[in-house]
Amino acid sequence: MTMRAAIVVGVVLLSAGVRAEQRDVTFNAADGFTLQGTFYSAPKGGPGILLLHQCNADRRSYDQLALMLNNAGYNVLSFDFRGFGGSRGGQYTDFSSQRQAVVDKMPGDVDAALTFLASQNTVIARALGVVGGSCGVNQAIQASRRQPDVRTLVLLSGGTNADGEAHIQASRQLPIFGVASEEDGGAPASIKKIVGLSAHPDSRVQMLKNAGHAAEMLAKQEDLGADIVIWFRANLPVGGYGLPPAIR
Amino acid sequence: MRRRTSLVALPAVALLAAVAWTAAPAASQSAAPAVTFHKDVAPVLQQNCQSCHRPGQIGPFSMLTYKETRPWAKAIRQAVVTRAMPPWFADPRHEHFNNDRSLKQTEIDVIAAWVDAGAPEGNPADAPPPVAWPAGGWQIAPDLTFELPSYPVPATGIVEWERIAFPAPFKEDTWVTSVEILPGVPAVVHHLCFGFQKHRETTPYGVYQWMEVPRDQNGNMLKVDGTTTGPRKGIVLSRKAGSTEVTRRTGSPDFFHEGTNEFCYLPGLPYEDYRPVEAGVFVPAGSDMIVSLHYTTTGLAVVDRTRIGFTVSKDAPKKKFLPQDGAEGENPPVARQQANATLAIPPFAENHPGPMATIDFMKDVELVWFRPHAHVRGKSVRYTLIHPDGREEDVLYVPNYNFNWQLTYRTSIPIKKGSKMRVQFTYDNSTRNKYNPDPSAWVRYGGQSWEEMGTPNMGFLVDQDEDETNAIIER
Repeated sequence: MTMRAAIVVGVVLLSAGVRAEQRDVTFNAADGFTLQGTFYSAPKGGPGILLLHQCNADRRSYDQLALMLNNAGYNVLSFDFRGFGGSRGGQYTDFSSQRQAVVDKMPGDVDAALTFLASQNTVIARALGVVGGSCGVNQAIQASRRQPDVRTLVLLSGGTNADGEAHIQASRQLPIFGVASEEDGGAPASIKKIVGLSAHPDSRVQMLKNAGHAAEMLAKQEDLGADIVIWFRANLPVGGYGLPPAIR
Repeated sequence: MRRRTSLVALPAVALLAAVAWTAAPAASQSAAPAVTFHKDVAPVLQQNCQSCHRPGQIGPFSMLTYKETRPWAKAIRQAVVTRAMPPWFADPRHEHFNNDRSLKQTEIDVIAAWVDAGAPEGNPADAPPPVAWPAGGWQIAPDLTFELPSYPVPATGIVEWERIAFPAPFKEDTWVTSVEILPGVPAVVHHLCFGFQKHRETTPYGVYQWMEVPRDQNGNMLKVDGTTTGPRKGIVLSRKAGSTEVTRRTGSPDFFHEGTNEFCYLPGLPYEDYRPVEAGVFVPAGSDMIVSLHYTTTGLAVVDRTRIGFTVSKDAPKKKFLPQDGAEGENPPVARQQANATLAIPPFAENHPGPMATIDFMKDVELVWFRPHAHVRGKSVRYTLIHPDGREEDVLYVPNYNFNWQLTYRTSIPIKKGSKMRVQFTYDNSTRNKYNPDPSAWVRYGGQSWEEMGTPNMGFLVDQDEDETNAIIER
């Protein structure tokens, strides 16, 4: 983490004092594996946002973003995929040597995280958003395929498969904010393709320069966190009026 | 109401010089930046932004300090340059509003120049003194406060409009000069309005009452007759505050508010303040406060506890507020002005005009505010004043109505007897409306947010000793 990013984190931590209530949590995937995360609750209640980290980092890469979102009125859950950070144990201890096994388990881990998030007593379970970085991009898109209460996506430096592309194309009610850094290999093209496929008129792409990959961009481009919060405020309102009525 | 006469902004010439300096490649790095947070930006934020952007308020982040503001610099620039913030939706061609939240171009330029220069902090000694914001989350520094009972809002289902009465919280004749309503959980409050009226023996205190409204499976009223709450005779439901027991009976409610709800919380509406125009609402001793509540379910069960703050005066101000529907018991009750029963918005319609409202003015009044109200499909509204000589004048046009920002547009327009006001709402039931819950549905008149209405609220002042009876007749 750069000195400037560290200062920003400190600032956000200070300003978060009014509303942020964060706690480390654990929850089990369907196969019983225990996943570790951090939950930031919105005391007045509000939508829930799930943060999916990239495959060369862990949930801590989202600490600053999570606080900014939480201060803006959102419940936020970041968690470590199995084999990462605090979710290392059993047969999942090293992602680099167990890559396929871990990736195969990611959808189930995401479902467990969404279930945990939606079950919290401050979360409007029908108003969810997901942020995905790099390998988390495809997981975020697939999560929205399985879970219709995911109402917007923020995708950082990643791609998806044919099923994901078809889903994006068919989802007129799913606004997407895609971000990548121009020099970051295939990430810019992948993000542009996903956003280009989106049927939602508000979907947009933001290209940065020399900002690194996925969550690294949050540290190198300190304005990006604010852009993401503004995106969510516009597309996942903290009030109830951006949603269909909860008649039933 | 915000006074703009004390705005602190750089003179245009100085600003241009500042921008030129920041753009100059030969500028010395050792020189102090021309535009800094403390010297130039903080005054703009204090005057225009901090009322919402401080802890405990609606803004998603605080702008009280440099450290809190800096991470948002680029987003702030974007918001002010595009005029997305501060929220203000009136067409600028009609510039007569004295609470216009829009930034002056010089203020926008200051912020843009600051961000373009790298958002420098500058010298803290240059900063203006911090604003002494009222404690407790208030903006008006109330003289007294009133707390409503806790209201449990269920996770799902339909909550009809309810009323509850309390003794007014004043021991003697009082002029209310401003009111701020602070919901505990704003996300579930569609509206919370109240007014005052003489106590009647039949009015119970602390009892919620509402009418059963027959609805279809999608929550739409079965009988669309132009009322929001169903018939005044039918199944009356009651629940004492603090109790979960609901009683049912056939008949009429024990109480209504026969005048207008003078004060409201609506999403995005800050507060009501008559002090700048030396006016108030007179509340005789012994009056009741009749509160109209409309909660909306969001999928999350919550308990709302709303607070109301008042500033008051024992001395009569120069003018008194005259609500659109007249004073208590002296004018027709709150009936809608339009042929609301005819409102029928077709599926996927992008720009559907609602039934026109026409208001006749029967004597001279001073029009002091507009507060148009529609629901999530509301798209635009236009108020057209027709003078007695037939001349027509648009006095308010809101091209992009936003349910989440239901502002009061304050003005001072003397209106002559014989004038008329035409008010036209339009609706967007298409997929382009991101707040549209179901573009495929026909939408008719009703009180719930998925139904629609187009209420052309206005407020008037008359001299304090004026007889306001029959000042306005609505049709």
